Amino acid sequence: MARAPAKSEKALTRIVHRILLGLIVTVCLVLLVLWRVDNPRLERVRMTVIDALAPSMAWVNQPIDFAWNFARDYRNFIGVYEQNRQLRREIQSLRAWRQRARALEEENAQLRALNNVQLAARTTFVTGDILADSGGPFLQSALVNVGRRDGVPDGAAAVDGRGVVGRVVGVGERASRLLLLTDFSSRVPVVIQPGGRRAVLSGDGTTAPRLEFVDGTDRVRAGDLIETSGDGGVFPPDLPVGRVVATQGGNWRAVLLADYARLEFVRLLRYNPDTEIDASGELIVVPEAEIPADDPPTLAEPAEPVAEGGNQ
Amino acid sequence: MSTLLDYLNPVRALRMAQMGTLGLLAIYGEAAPLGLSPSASPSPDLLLCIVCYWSARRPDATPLLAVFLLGVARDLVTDMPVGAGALALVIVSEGIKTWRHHLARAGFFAEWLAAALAAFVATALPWLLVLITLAQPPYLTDVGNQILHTIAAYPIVMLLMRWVLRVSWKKAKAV
Repeated sequence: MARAPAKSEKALTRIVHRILLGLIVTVCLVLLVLWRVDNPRLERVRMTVIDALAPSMAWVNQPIDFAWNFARDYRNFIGVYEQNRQLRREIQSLRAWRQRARALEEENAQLRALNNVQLAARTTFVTGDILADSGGPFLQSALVNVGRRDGVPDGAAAVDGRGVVGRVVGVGERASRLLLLTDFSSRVPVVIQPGGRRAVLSGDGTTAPRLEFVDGTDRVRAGDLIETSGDGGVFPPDLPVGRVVATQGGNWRAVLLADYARLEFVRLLRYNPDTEIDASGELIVVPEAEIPADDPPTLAEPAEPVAEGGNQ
Repeated sequence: MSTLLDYLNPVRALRMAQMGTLGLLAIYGEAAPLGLSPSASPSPDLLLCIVCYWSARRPDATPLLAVFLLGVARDLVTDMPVGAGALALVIVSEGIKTWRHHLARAGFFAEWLAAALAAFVATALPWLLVLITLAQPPYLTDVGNQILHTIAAYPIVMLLMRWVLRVSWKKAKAV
């Protein structure tokens, strides 16, 4: 007697399970489409989830960090003799560079004084601890434990002690998400020094991103310094990014200055770009209705032309 | 009705909570910052290892919705294509549940092989979906690296579950 209801209940459970599975597959595909079109709501959901998990994440990561650092220090200890020799060589080279840098600094100060150059807008920063990375091959990104409450703006540039690391693409209350320069979707306007050639640094999932749209490759040399150009107003200008290297195919790439392998802290810059005039001055004409009727301009003697642009 | 009551069973609820906690720990482990350079080794898919192990031995503790939510949380935290990782995880979990009786009889190497196949599906499916949506998929070498790391991690996860948490086939049969 009880076998029939049990059988029907089992069949019902199976049907409900299949419907649920179908629903979940549909939701997954919808989420994928939203991710693909960079839906801002999805980014908000992401940052809400990260905000909720960030405190416990830091707690769990501490023992993992400890074990990882221990293993790394042990490897360093094994290679200490070779490192010592290499450091001595670097010190020799750096002494020569120090003299050169002092001379350049003095020259730079004199030139600035001569030109009365106005320095870039004041840039402040907040320092954060790297909380997590993407871990997988799909995206080169990281989470930092500072967010909106610490004054991190969306789009802020992230730098370590050497150069640009990436930029903020999502801000939560307590955490921010960084897109690294090496990611496939990273594009940064840069300038190659000396020479001031402009280019776009395009991440392609490798350690050396491509330099695209180089404004004349004739004056670009391997070893040239790459800095942010400041175009677009997202990154402050003149932040060091990397050095130019030439590939076998005749293309240019950048060896990044930032030390991604040992990145533990980053500075997120709060940059306020100067106000830019992005349109030409327009002629201000008083509407005809507002011109007094008792003093109309005559055709024989046209009115005094108004100076265009207003900046003469 | 009995199915609904089964969800309210405190033992089952406790197992589900245990599975959820382990899943979250696996996500944290995957997201631990162990080198941000593209040349750094990718983290193994620990969540997949745990879901595979629990789906085979404790299918009642890995309901569809829980696996989906863990998958979405992982996609959001580790910046995977949102939805693609969760979809792959749900498919793998359902597949393991279907074949769990065969796996229980077949022994360790068959289970490891199944986990390897699951790792392949769980990485290849998001890669394919990213390609279909005309986004830039990661390099195949990186994807292959992650699959190998996941395959290597599975026996370690098995050992931890078996000897530390005492989750085994025998207990599953008693349910």
